[in-house]
Amino acid sequence: MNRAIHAFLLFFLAFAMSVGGAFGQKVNYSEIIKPFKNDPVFKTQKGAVKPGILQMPFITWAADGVTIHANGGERPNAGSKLGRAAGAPVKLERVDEFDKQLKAYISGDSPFLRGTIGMINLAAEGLTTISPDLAPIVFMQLSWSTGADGFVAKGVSNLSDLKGKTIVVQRTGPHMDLVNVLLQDAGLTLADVTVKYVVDITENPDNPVPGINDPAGAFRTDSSVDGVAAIYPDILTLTAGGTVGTGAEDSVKGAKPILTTRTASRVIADVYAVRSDWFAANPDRVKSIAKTLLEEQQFFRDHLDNVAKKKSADQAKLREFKQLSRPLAGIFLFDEAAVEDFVMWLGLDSELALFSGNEEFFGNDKSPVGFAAANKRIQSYYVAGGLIASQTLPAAAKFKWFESEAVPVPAVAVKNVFSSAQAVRAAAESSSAGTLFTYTFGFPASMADLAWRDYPDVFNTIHEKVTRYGGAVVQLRGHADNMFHNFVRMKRSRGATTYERKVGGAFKQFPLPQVEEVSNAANKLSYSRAFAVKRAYAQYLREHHDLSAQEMDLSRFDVKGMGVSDPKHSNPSSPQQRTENMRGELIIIGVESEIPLDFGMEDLR
Amino acid sequence: MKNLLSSFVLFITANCFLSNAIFAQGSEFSELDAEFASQTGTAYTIIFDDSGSMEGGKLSQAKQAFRWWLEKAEPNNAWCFLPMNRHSLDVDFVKNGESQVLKAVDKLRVGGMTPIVATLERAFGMIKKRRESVTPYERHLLILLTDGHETKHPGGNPAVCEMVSKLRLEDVEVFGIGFHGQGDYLDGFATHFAAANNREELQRSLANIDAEVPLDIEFRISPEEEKAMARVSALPLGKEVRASRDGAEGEEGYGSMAEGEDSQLGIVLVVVVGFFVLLFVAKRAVSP
Repeated sequence: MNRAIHAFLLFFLAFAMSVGGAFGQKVNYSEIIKPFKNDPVFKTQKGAVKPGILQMPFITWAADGVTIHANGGERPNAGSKLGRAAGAPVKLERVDEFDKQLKAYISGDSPFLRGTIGMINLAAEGLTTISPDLAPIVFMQLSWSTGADGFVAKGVSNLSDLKGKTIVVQRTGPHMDLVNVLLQDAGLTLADVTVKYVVDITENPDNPVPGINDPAGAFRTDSSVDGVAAIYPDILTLTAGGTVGTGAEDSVKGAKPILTTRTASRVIADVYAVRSDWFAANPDRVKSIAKTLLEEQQFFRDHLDNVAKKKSADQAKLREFKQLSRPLAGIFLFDEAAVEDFVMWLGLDSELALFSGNEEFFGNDKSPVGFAAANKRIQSYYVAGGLIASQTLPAAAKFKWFESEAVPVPAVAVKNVFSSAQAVRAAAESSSAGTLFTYTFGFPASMADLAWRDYPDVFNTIHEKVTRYGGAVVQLRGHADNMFHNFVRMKRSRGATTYERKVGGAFKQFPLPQVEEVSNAANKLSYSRAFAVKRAYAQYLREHHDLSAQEMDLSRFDVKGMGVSDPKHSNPSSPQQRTENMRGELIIIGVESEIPLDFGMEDLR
Repeated sequence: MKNLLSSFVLFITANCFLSNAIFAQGSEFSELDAEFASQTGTAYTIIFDDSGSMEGGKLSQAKQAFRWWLEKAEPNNAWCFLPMNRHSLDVDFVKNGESQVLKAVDKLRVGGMTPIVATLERAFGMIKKRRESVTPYERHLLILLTDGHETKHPGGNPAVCEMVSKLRLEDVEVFGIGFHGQGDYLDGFATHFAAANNREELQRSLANIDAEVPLDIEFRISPEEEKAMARVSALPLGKEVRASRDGAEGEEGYGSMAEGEDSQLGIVLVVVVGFFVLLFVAKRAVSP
C-alpha cells in the first residue's frame, strides 16, 4: 500500500506515463473474493513466528517515519531504542501490499500487521478461521489521517448523489473503510453503488502488471467511473488543484473533491496488530515496543509544536528536526532534500496518536470513533456488503498507559481547529463550504427548550458525525415561523392598528404590534432555538459521556438565529406548515479549504 | 416632566424584566449562559434633548428621575447615550453600562439647537456597528426624548420621520416620548409614541410581543387579506408596504406622511391662490 508521498515523488513520472501511454491502456480491475476469508492469501501455510531478528512491516506513511527513527533506520539494530524494547534486533521492511503482509504474518515471518483499523477488520475473519493463534491483537494506534486521503467525483454534489454510481477504490487498502464510512453516513450501502477495485493506491512504477492499476488512472481512462478514493496529490491533479477538473493536465473534466480526511479526520486510524500466539508469549515485549514508539512520537510531536510556533520557533531545534528528518525523507520520498515535504506530511496530513490518543482510542468505549465503535461499525458494514461472512471483532491489547508510573499523564486539552467564532462563521459561509449532514429539531410555538434525553439516538448520531468529521464546522440555525410576521405586515400595510383573534369561542380585538417588534421577537426566538441545540449537545456530553466543560470541543459550533428569513414555507397556510417552520437545524459543513493549518512550508525555511 | 420620567422608568424596568425572564436558562453551564447573555439582551440608545429649550428646572428634574430608574434597571443590557449637542458626553454601547451613562447625564448642560435627525443618524451608525462587531441578536430600543422640533436639518420634522422610518426598517424599535405638548408629529411614525403625561399609553406599549402564536388560535382574516398576505410573504424582509389613508397598499416605508403632505399641498395652494388674488387686486388697483 502506498500512501500520500509516493505521488509527491512520482508525480512527474506519472504525468509522463499518463501522457505517453494512458491512451489505449486498459484498467486492470481486481476483484475482492467475497467473503474475503476465501482469498488465496489465507491458504498460506501457517508457521510459528521465527526466532531471532524480528521482522516488522511499515508502510509509506509519515507516521511510520517515527518507527524508523526509533530503530535508527530500517536495518536490524539491537542497540536502538526499538531494538532494546523488542528484546531483539528489528528489521523494518516496507510492505505496502497488504496481501504480502498477510502472507508473512501467517507464515510466521513476522508477528505484526501494519494497516488501518478497516484493513485489520477485513482480515480478522480469515486469520481467525485459520487459527485462533493468528487472531490479530491491535496493540497501538500510530496516527489519524488528517488530510492525506479523500474522495473525488464528477456529477456529484454531495455524498448521497453517489447512489447508482461507479466508484474505484484500492483493493484491501485504507480507502475501503473511508468509502464505507462515506456511503454509510450518506445513508447508502455498498449495494447502492458499483465498487471496482484496483491493486495500487496511486501510480506505482514498481507494479510489473502493464496498464492502469490505480484509482486516479482508472478515473482518467474509464469514462464509466464516477468517483475514486485517492491520496491527496492525486486529488489535486484530478481536480485541477482542488477546484474542478477541466480535462487538461491529467485532471478529469468535472471532477471535484467531495471530501478528504482533512474534514473526515477521525476515519482512517493507522494501527499495529500482533499475532495472538506471539502476544500471549511476549506481552511485555509488545507493550515495551508500543511504549517506545509512543515516546518517540512524543519526541516528534515536540518538534512539530516547535515548528508551529512559526517565527518564534527555536531555530536550533528546527535545524535539529530537519536534520533528523532528512533520512526519513530519503526513505519515503527518495530524496533527502525533500525534508520540508516530509515534515508537512507528518505534521499536517497525519496526526500522531500519542499516549493520550491511544488511551482515548482503546480506553473510551463511549467514543463514537474509538476502537470498539469502529470495529462494530466496520464489521456490520462488511457483513452487509458480503466482504465477511460473520462478525469477527479484532481484540485490543488495551494497555493502561496512564496507570504506569513510567509514563507521565499528559494533559488532554481540547485543540481548537479555528482561532475564533468569527473564523468559524467565515469558514461556514465561504464559497467552498458544503453541507454534509443536516438534522432538524421541531419546537412548539414560542418555545426554545430542547432536552437531549428526548432524542438520545439522534444525539448519539450527531456526536458520531461531529467527532468523525473533526475538520468540519457545525452550524446551528434557529428559525421562527413567519405566519404572524406576515399577518402583521399585511395588516400594517392596510393601515390597521388592531386585529381580531378568537378567545373563548368569540373574536376579540387586540392591539396590532409593529412589524419590527415581531421581527425582533423572531430573531431572539430563533437564536434561542439554535442555542438550545448547542446547550442540549453540551448536556449530552456532560451526562452521557461524563465530559467536563474543558473537555468539550464546542469551538467549531456556529450559532445563528435566522429569524423569519428562511422559512420552509414562505406563506404557511396550515398548522403543519407552521410547525415545520418552527425549527432548529444542526448542519455539519465541510470547509476544507478554510481549515487553518498549524504551519506552512514557509515556516520551515 | 416627572410623569415622563416615571413612565419611562416603568417602561425600562418592565422591558428588562421581560427580556431576561423569557430566555433565562439557568444551568450548570456558566460559559454557555454567558455566551447566550452576551448575544441577546436589549440594547438601549437614549437620545437626550439638551437643547436650550430644556433650560431651567426641566433638565435637573430629568436628570434626577433618569438616575433613579437607571439604578433600578436589570443587568445584562447594553447602554448607549447620545445628547443632541454635547457629543463629548456620548457613551457608545456598554454592556451593563449604567454607571457610564449616569456620569454623562450628571455632566449634561443645556444649550444649542435640536438636531434630532443628525443624532438619529449617529445612533443608526452606532447600532449598525454594534450589530456587525458584537451581536446581531440584541433587541435595539431607541428612546427619543424631546420637547421640541427639529431645528437644524433643512427637512425639519418630516426629515425626522423619514429617519425614524429608516431605523424601523432595520428593526430598531423607536420610542418617541414627547412632553410639554411637543413631539406629537412622531405619533404614527415611531414604533410607539407617548406624551409624557400619558402613562397608560406607555404601559400599553410594554405588552410582550410574541413572534409566534399557538397553532390553535384562530385569526379573523378575510379572503382579501389572505391574498394580501400571500403578496406580503413574497416581499423581501425590510421592504415594507406603507399604509395610505384609504387603506390601499403603497410604497415602502413606515407610517403615513399623508397628513403632512396634505398640509404642504394646502400651503402651496394657499400661496398660489394668494398670488393670483394679489395679482388680481393689483391689476384692479392700477387699472384706470
